[in-house]
Amino acid sequence: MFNSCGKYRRVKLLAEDGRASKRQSSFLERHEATCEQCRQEHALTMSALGALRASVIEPEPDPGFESRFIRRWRVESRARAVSYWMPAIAGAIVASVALLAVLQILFAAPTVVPVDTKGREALLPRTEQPEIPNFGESLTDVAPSQ
Amino acid sequence: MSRVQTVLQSRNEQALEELQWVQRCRHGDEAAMGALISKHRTRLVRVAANVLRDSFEAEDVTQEAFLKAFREIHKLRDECAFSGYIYKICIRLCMDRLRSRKAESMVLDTPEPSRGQQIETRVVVEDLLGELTPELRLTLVLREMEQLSYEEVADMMRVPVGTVRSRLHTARERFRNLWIAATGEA
Repeated sequence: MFNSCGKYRRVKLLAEDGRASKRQSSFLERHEATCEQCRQEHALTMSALGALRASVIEPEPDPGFESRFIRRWRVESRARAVSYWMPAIAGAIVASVALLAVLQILFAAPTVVPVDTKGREALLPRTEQPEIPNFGESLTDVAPSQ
Repeated sequence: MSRVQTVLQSRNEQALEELQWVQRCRHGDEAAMGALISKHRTRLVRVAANVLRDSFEAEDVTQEAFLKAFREIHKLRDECAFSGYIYKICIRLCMDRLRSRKAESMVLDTPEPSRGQQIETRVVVEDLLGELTPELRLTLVLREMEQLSYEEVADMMRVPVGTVRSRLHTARERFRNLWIAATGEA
């Protein structure tokens, strides 16, 4: 009986896949008729799969599905367009800033000191240091003698 | 004209119409988007709801799937394959949600108390599905609830058919054991 049960399980797999021949199918039937354990196992499998098939969900069609989708699609398309053009926009901004900087350097008003003959002396660098007055002598003169 | 010919002609017309919508979508035509949405929405919301077991999240995932599909519609080479393309995107998004949800605690839809036994079974099923790994859960739902073929499941999940077979076997066995433990049947 044990070997027969092993064969039953192997053939059962084929039958589940729809690959069992007529002979194999009749073997299954014969075995189930004689083996209580295999019959019970088969019944339990059928009961479990029956419950599974019976609990199929049939969702109600939602009328707002399409409009919601189109809204979502538009938002996503816009976001995608922005992210697509973002590197180009950033590059353009950097390039224009650089261009402005170059133009500023090239065409900015020169900062050369205007030549003024009258005030020329004031603008020239001083080479001579101003004299520092020496108060030492006058201090010794003033100090009280002891 | 025979009935078969009429059906075939009608299908061709529908395919042609969808092709035109896809082409218009490539240029950002919102009316064409709306047409494609109303054609595929119900199926997508249904599959997402069954995988995620949450109607609100299913709607959100479906919207995300459409957004992704229209955003990347230039990648769609065969314009007639929009249906499979959007379906795959939706399944993958559901898978991502399941994986991210796995780390958090499972949140189930609050059942309405008036529906009794049916709701109770549904809640148990939802609870048990939450115990499976995302891969096993998705395979089980696509095969048992959505009634897709092995080849279709394999195509959706980008795995070989053999992997689908073994996953399905594991998922059924695990689900059955969980069912026995939860309901006390044995």
